[in-house]
Amino acid sequence: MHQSDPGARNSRARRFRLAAALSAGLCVSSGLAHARADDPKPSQAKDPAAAVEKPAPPKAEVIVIRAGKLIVKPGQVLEGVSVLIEDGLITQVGKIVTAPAGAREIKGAVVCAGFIDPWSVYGVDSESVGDQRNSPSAATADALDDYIDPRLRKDVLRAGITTVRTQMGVLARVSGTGTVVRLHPELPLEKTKLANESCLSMTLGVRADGNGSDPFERLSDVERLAGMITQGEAYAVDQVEYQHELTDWKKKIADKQKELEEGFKKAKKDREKELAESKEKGKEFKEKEFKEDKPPKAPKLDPDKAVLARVAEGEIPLIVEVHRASQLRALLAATEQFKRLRLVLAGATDAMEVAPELVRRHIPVVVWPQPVGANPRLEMERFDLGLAGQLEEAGVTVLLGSGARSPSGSRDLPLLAELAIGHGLDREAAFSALTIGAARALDLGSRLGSVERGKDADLLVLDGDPLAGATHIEYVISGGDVVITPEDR
Amino acid sequence: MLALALTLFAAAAPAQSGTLAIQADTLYLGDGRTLEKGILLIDEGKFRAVASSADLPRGVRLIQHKGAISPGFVSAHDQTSLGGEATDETRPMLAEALAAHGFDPEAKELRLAARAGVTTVLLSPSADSLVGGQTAVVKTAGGKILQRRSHLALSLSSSALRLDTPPTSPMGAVTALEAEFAANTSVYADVKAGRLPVMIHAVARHEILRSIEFATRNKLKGSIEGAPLAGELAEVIKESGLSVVLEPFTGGDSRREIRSVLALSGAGVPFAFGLDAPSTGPDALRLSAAMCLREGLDRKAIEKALFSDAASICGVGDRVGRLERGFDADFLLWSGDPLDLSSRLEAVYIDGARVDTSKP
Amino acid sequence: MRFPIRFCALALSLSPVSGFAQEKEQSNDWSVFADQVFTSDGEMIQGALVRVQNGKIVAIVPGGSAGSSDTSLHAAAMTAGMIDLSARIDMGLASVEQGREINPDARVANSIDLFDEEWTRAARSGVTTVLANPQDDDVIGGLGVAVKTAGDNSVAARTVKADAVLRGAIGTQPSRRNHPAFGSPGDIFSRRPTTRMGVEWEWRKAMYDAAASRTDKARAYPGSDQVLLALDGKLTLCIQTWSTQDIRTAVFLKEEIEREKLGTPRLILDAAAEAWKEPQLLVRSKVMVVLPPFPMQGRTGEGSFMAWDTAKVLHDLGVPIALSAHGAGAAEVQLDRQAGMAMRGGLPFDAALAAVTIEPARMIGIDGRVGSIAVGKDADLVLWSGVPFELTSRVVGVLIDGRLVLDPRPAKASASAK
Repeated sequence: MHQSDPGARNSRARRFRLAAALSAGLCVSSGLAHARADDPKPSQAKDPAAAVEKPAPPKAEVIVIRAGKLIVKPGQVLEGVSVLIEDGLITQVGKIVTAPAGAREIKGAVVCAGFIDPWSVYGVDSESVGDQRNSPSAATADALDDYIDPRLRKDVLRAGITTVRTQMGVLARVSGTGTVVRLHPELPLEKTKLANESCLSMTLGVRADGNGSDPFERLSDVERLAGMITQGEAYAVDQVEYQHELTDWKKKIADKQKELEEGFKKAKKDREKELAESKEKGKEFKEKEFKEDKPPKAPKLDPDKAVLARVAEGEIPLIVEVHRASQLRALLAATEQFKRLRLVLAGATDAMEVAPELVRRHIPVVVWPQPVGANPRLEMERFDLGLAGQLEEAGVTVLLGSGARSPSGSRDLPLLAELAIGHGLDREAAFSALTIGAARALDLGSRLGSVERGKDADLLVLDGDPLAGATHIEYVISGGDVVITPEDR
Repeated sequence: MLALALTLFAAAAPAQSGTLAIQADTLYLGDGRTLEKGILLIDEGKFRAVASSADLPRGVRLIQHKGAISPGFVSAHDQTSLGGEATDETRPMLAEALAAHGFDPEAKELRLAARAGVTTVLLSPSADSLVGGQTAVVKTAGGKILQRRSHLALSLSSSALRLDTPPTSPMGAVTALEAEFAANTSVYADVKAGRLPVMIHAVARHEILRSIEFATRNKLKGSIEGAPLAGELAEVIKESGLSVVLEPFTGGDSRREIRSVLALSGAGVPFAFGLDAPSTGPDALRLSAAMCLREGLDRKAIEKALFSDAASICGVGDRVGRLERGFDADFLLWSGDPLDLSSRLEAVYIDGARVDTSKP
Repeated sequence: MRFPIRFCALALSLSPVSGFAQEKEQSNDWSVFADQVFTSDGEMIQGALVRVQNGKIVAIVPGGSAGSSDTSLHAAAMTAGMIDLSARIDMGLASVEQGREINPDARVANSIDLFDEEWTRAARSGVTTVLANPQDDDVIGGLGVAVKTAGDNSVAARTVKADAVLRGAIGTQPSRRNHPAFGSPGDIFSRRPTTRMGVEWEWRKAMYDAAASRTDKARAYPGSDQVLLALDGKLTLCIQTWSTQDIRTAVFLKEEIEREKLGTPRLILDAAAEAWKEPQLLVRSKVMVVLPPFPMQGRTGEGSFMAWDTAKVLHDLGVPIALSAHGAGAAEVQLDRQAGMAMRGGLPFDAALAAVTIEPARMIGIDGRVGSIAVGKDADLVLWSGVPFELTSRVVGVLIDGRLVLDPRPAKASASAK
């Protein structure tokens, strides 16, 4: 639907053919038939979800993990089971799993899914992280820096983080689209992208210089945000209308073609006569124009609006970092009208003020449970580490993120999650936030976030329960490869 | 179970007119030692006994706490409650200025600190002056000033140098300081005689070296403060006899800085963390400890850094920072190990009185 | 021609132990052998062994052999560690105390950043001792310090001579950026000289006030004691003077002090690019000269012109000269190349060697410890792949206080580079 460009090109091509066929006096029908055959159906336009790149073929190691305790997903624990990993996927989970010959066996007290940081700047080159002048079509996928310190990558993996949603321009009003990448010490980020444009990110009230703006500017920022989504919505409507017009036009062309085919001989005779006449009189000969030659006009391609249209249609979520109650309220009020919009809040220091609304509208919140001080220069001056727990208790879907301020922040997300637990967040809710919750929010719930057959093999093998202070991570498996072993500790 | 024990405890506290007896699964004594099933006896704001068994005074009931007890955390460098007035910008040297006079016992940051289990903080003038003044040690609740003059705060970092006010260079700063010390006025005389330690702010490694050489030349005692990479000079610092106060980690800090803490510990240099509120929250102390533990720091070393060594660096090591007979009864009730970030802080006591931590 | 073979043999003999040697504490005791040992005392020994113990040179054995133990080093040639009196390893503006223009009491030792890569670069280029001076934005910038370029993490421990010189400048640099007192009156730049004349006046006033303070304490000022030491010749004056007019100013000032019987200063003119123009003036007033790096196009600092034969002209007249590189920049402008360029201008090899070793050591009075290869001196040694200062030769090994800074052994060198 957003794929207007090929359609427009094809319609122009067809128009040319119709006129040319007549002028040359060739068989119009065959020309048209040919045109029809190579015309791709608009419905086959590139589907962004389908365009997600598959990870590079992993090493062909087959792994069997014998787990004392397997946390399949939050709330579902199996004892004494094994997990078989083949070709980067979990192919078997069960009591009796026979290891194929040559399979690597790993034993562990506890096995669970790899952690996901849904709010990170890992792997984005530093210039792009600080970019202040992005537009919605700016894509983090274009800003990945594979020359990032390999030690840092290992540090993040060692902490149990296997996947991050990474974002450029985190302090800009409009950050652009985020990308989900899996961390692997050997594969370039480009090869481990799980979702190219996983979401659109924006901020409200957050400034690179740490200064908030005045109340009027804050409100106009919210209006601007809502205005952008309105534009996206309108763009989507235009696209749909255009598709309808295009269908109508195609039908008319077909009718005309039939008409021409039927009266072909007469039409040819008439044309030749006109041609002869005009030669005689020394006049210029004009080909007969058909009104069907004019195709409907495609809406002007606007990559920014195309992204906003996907957001307005709920194809990808909109993640907004916003902290103050006034702006939270204004944002919720201004976005109420967009029924398909999938809003995710990040930061949301004052979110408790609007908790019932968040519950009602199923809006998840990514909390950054970091020990910030009461510095009034920060938007987070009223932040309380109890926020995650309070929101969860109020029924809001809580996610945890590392705040996207430093590339090594993701490394410390599990510690921050523990801190949130210590301040009232339920341990299982915290675990869910780092696994299946984050996977679902990023539309990757079918691939990541739990240890189930058919899912990607991103796993942690631990010596105790996840997110407990005394627990150590022994093995990390990313995309089916053992990337961290106890020797890496 | 936990909640029950707590409510009993909370109800019991005021009834006993300041006398409390409490037994916990584990007492973390603050100097790296632990005591299983230890008993704390508290009277008139002090620990009367810290032991595995104790004769309780008549009418005092032993309260059971399922979990752990630790001393209150000590933040060894802070501008909490000075309200942005931590430096006098008109004078690069103001040795007689006392941070104690900038202390606002009602500051919000103090409540936040108490709520996170930080019971003692060292208030320091900011690092923007060559000689900022003198530090003070205060409690985060009750408004008590534990020690009015703890250190002379010096700054040999670039933040103390301004182009519009001499000295403008590190060497000018040292020259000016040497002149002050040579003049031997009251404060500097106290410092030279060892009655008042120094706390020298230094950030880059050459600033640390300069501070150490300055302190060694003038035979000064005290601490280097700031100094994220101090561990890379651990041997030199050890030789100087100075201790180190580090800024806390807040997540995402470089591993080199975390390793630097391990190097300090390995060389046997006493160290502690400061909070430098309001830019970092009080829970940064525990987060710093957890990050060091993850990197492999000895557990006893980090406990000392949070409690007893921090108190000693502040100059109040004989009064707070340990669960020890005669010490101030500043202690924390935890659901589990205080260094496990997922443990919950259930109650905060300062000078034997429970602190209301319900509201920030 | 023998070297390649020996190097190969060496590499073979050492490779099995190299891994082990890295683990244990590196020894500071060495047997260093070279086919040609240039001692800087006017002597070249064909084939000699220099024994190093506890950071000092303990023996020089002509004809000796180093053997092939783990503590032996070989090279084609050996000189003493080079000394650069104008290395300009300062912290830029952080080595300028802007509060005053006369800072004889400021010690540049307190404005040094030992963690600057410049130090390592200098050490590995064979410069083992430098005179660290303030950047010349003040009339009297402060007290320079002679420091080793590698060693312990402590300025004090690396110091060869504290308060080695009293450093200042004559010319346009001290008055740069200063302006008359309009605008903000508190601006420290409005209180400082804006002309060459003003700069010279500041010098003269500092000297006359200091001299007067001998009898009238009221004329004393912060640092006047150091200026007194300089007047008495006990503290060497080191003044930057690029052009002829500045050289004249400095020389006339020295002669005036002597004429007025205010003292007998020892004077080093640093960066005296135009010293070749009136060399007799320098002979007459008995000043010492540190030459700036040779410019490729002739023009150098403050618009002065430096001739290729500057070093030769001064040397022929008996003026003590030292060469300098103004920072260990690219390899082609480092101190060994400066010696090469001075030789291209006609300076004999022995004089060029002296100008980067013993001569600068004598100028600031540290020749008792460094500057030549002699028993009892610091084991600061430079090993060369061939005859020193030739374009085809390079520094392959450096020892500072007996510590190996640059390892000449091929296997070790590649390991330490990692």
